[in-house]
Amino acid sequence: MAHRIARGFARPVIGALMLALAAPSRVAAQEVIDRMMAVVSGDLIMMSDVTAAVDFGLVPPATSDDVTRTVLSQLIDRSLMLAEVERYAPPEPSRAAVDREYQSVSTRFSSPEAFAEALARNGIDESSLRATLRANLRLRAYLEQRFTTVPPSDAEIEAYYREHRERFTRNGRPQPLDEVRADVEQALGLDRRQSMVDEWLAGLRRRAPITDVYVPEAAAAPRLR
Amino acid sequence: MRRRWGLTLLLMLHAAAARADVADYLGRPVTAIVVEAEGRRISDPALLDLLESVAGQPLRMRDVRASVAHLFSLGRFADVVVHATPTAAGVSLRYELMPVHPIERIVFTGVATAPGLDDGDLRRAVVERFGSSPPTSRANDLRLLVLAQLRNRGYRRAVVTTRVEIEHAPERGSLVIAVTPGTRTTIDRVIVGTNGGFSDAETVRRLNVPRGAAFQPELLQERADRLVEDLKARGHYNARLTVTPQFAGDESTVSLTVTVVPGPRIRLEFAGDPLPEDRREELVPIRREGAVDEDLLEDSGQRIEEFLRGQGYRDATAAFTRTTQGDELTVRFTVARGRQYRVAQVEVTGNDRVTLADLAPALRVREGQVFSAAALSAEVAAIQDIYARRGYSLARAVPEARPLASAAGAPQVPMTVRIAIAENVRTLVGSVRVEGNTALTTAELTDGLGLQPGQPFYPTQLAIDRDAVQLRYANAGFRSATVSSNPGLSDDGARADVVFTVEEGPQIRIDHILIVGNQRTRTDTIRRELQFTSGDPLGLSAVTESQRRLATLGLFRRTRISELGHGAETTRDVLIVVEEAPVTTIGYGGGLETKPVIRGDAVASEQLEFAPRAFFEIGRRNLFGKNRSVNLFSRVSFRPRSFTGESAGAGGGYGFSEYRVIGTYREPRLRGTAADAFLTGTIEQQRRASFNFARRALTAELLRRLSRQVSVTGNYQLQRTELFDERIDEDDRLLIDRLFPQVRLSSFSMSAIRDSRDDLIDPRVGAYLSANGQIAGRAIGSEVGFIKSYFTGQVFRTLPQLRQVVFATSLRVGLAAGFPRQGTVLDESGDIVTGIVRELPASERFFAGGDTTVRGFALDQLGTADTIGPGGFAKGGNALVIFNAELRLPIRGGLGLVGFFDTGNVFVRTSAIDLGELRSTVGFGIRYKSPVGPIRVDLGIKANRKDLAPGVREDATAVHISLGQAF
Repeated sequence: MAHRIARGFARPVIGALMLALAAPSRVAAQEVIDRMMAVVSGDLIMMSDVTAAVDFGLVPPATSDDVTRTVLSQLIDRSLMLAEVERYAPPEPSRAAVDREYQSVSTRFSSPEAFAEALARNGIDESSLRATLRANLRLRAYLEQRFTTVPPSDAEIEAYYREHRERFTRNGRPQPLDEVRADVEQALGLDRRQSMVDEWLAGLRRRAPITDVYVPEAAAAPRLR
Repeated sequence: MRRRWGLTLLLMLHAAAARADVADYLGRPVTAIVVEAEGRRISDPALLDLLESVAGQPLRMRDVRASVAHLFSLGRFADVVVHATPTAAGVSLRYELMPVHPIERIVFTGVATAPGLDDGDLRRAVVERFGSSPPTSRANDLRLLVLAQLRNRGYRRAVVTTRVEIEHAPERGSLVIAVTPGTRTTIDRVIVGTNGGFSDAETVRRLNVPRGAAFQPELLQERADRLVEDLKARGHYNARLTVTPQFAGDESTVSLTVTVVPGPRIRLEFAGDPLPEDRREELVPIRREGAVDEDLLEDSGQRIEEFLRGQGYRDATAAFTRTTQGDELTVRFTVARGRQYRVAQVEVTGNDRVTLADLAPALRVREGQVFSAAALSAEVAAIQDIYARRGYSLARAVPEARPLASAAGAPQVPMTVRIAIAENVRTLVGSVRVEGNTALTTAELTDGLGLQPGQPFYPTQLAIDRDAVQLRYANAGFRSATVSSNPGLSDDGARADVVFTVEEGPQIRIDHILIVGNQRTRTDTIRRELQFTSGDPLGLSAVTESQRRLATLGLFRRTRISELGHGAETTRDVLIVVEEAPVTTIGYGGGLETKPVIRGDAVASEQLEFAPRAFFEIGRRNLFGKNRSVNLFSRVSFRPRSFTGESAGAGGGYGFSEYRVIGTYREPRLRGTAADAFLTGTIEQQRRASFNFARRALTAELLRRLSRQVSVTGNYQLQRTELFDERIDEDDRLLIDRLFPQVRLSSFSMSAIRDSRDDLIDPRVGAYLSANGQIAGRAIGSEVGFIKSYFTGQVFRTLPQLRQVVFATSLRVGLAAGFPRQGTVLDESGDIVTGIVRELPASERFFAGGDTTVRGFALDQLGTADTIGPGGFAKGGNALVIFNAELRLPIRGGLGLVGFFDTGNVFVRTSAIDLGELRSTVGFGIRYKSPVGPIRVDLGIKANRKDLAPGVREDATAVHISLGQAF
């Protein structure tokens, strides 16, 4: 009798336990599929913008632990810079240039179906992607137009080579300056340009109202592929 | 059995840990959509309408994105999160909204007991920088600002934290700024190194830095600046003062090292030829610049030379020397003007295709003028521009200026100026093409451009047309379109095949129109004024015009139209934020009116009258949220009793004599039409020079604006006027008013107005043209029939050479005729008989004279012998002509001078208009631009005086004091 009572008591308890375990399952199944991530001078950046940027290779590959944070920061910078681009209107990219960019993005995917699936997953269509690529081209043109550097002197090239000798090695052995002079000059020019851009961006970040609502724990980080 | 339960449990736990991919939800039917804010379910249709996701439809991420964007666009939510939950039949969506909690209160803690700190000052600093409702995203900037304020008050080790305390229903927050001031830094020691100027003790006293005082750097800097200014005022233009603080380790005390370097005292001298006193400061600005360096002195010398060359002294020199003696530096400019060159002869040659008459506007160098190379260069440029506008863009004008022989030592040298023109080929536009345009046709882009086939080619016009093409794209939503232009000149330069090359870029269209901030105003009322709808291209002019129309409604304190991007870069939401103005407005005020008027019992005489006046106005707008409004305006003037017609026994002082009460109801866009309707009731009692009247009137008016400048109105008026205290000659009264001491008038009128003035109160440019026609007749219930018209033309221009000076002119013409009616008249023998009367009732006749018509006359006191009675009192007439011309010169600080010429007269009939009888006055006045409009004092002087009555001469002048311009 006691055993029967125990068995009769056990089944409801196990059932209740299973229900209790099932309950978190129902909650966990509730998925954040999109959300606000940041607002930059009134422009909205959403979670799907972050995933799209990664899916379509619109930002450099991120290697940090928090990929979302890295990509979001890049999108915030992009938004700040685009606001400046709108003010100064660089040359409009040609349709052919936008087509080339679009082609480059679409061929990242294994098939047209995979590309179409990525577009749908991120909630954007072909024209929106084209517009984004066009904006990137304008941004690039603007940066090239605005941040030009004077050719470095021989002394500057030599100093840069000395300070960054490890970057100019072949088979683990440093290369003589005469052999890599062109590479050194290009690297120095790029470094200088990048530091100018960074300084400009820091100024933009100081001046622009930026609301960043991304919190890693709460944001149900998007699955980045 | 146990194994089976365990497996189930494991699977369920696994299921709990697993996460679905977004792709897993796509295409599944949306079974339910819930919107929640802080746990509360939202059922506001205005919010739900913004969701693009639709229950029953397959889930699409683009709908989700658009929904988030729209919700964000409202500006009411700090965060929007979209949750998806798989269900048996599909997927349910939950939009979780985090409301913005606007800061409504800023609270400081920890400052009450700290000396020198005042939470009011700190709050003001915060509000000044971040507004009264600072965004929480700026909390760190705000904290830094407060820290800076505390440091300025000596609290260098203060700690500041901020937090927001949130309240719900309504959603709002309090910003709490917690301050821990720490120890205040005090001054321990002051070391002064003064090198002249002030004594050390004086410096310490002026800086007010005794030992033990709080260290307040901003205050200290202000005192230091004042001290430096004092030194500069004494001639030490290079004076410098630095204060270097050195803090103790814990920053509780500070030692200040004050260094004053007054620099030499500078004396400025001019030698040689004279230089105008009032130009010296401007030409040699060492006092303003606070410096005497070589560059500044060289520039000053050049300025002096340029100034003198402009006066014909083309060999002028101005050399400077610097001499130091003791602590004094003397800067001396030695000016040598040389001889003055004057233009004796001007020759223009080579102008075969453009006549000298056509070139006249450019030819400013005239014989007899002093010679100025700058003026000659300007003339050359103007000639080339005239040629370029006619298609000769390659035309060149080459100037040559040569002195003619003159007696040695003569102070003036005559010059001959020759301008040789090489006209070159004329370029005509052969064709105008547009390349790269797909969204807009070539005809749409080129229609109305300045450059058209067959027309002269003008390079400046090419740039203007390029901008016009770009603007047409911007108006069609192509905000980033770029347009370049190529003149396409032929080899011989005779033909230009103009090409505009367009890179269109994407067209931006309007997704949603979001309207927020309207509490009382209906959304439809706002939407009605918008020049765009969802799906339209986002055009620049449509946005600008919508903004203007919303502002014109008068319902809002502020309106803002902004565009919101949300990922899709080809669509924008348009957000319209309005801040409603108070619906009830109350205005009141008082003043003193002064003007010359006519008085006297039998014989008129001009006297200056002072009359206190007051007004009260109350209005309520936006009735029923539809921009309807009601207004009540009342005004009363108190005039000397002797003017009101009261008996002598009433004594002196002021009596209630004039009043006006106007009630207006306004219904914009009557029954969906483009016309605004007004219903106005008026009760008034007014005084004219020769009678007083009381009037009750009801007016219904329809106003339609045809464009920004043009409007037409039509109205019906029913009024009853009662005349009293007439001072009209008995004979005249018999003629016109005996039958109608009270008259009922029923009339229709129409007006057309074109108003392009830049400012209604004090215009500088533009024109005002109006034509009004009125008809009253017995058939529509009037006791008297008449037809009446009134025309006004006013033009305002700034003078080309003197941009600040405004030339204003006005012409007003009034014409009226009474319909014949039976009345009592005097026959030739002086008997009263019944006859035909054509005159208008006195209240409808024209009068002139006074501060807004002909200013040499007192109010209503202008007229011909037929319209001024034998006693000198005006009877009014059926025709009026008034012409005014005025030059308005600003002086400084809101003060201005005016010179005017007024002429005009009132005639008994239209057929009696005689321009030879116009009476003219000239005069001048003073204007002061006050916050309530220009305050005006005018003195008018009659060109010729006549007798008011036998033996009573008109005054030569009249003074008027009033508000607003004369016209």
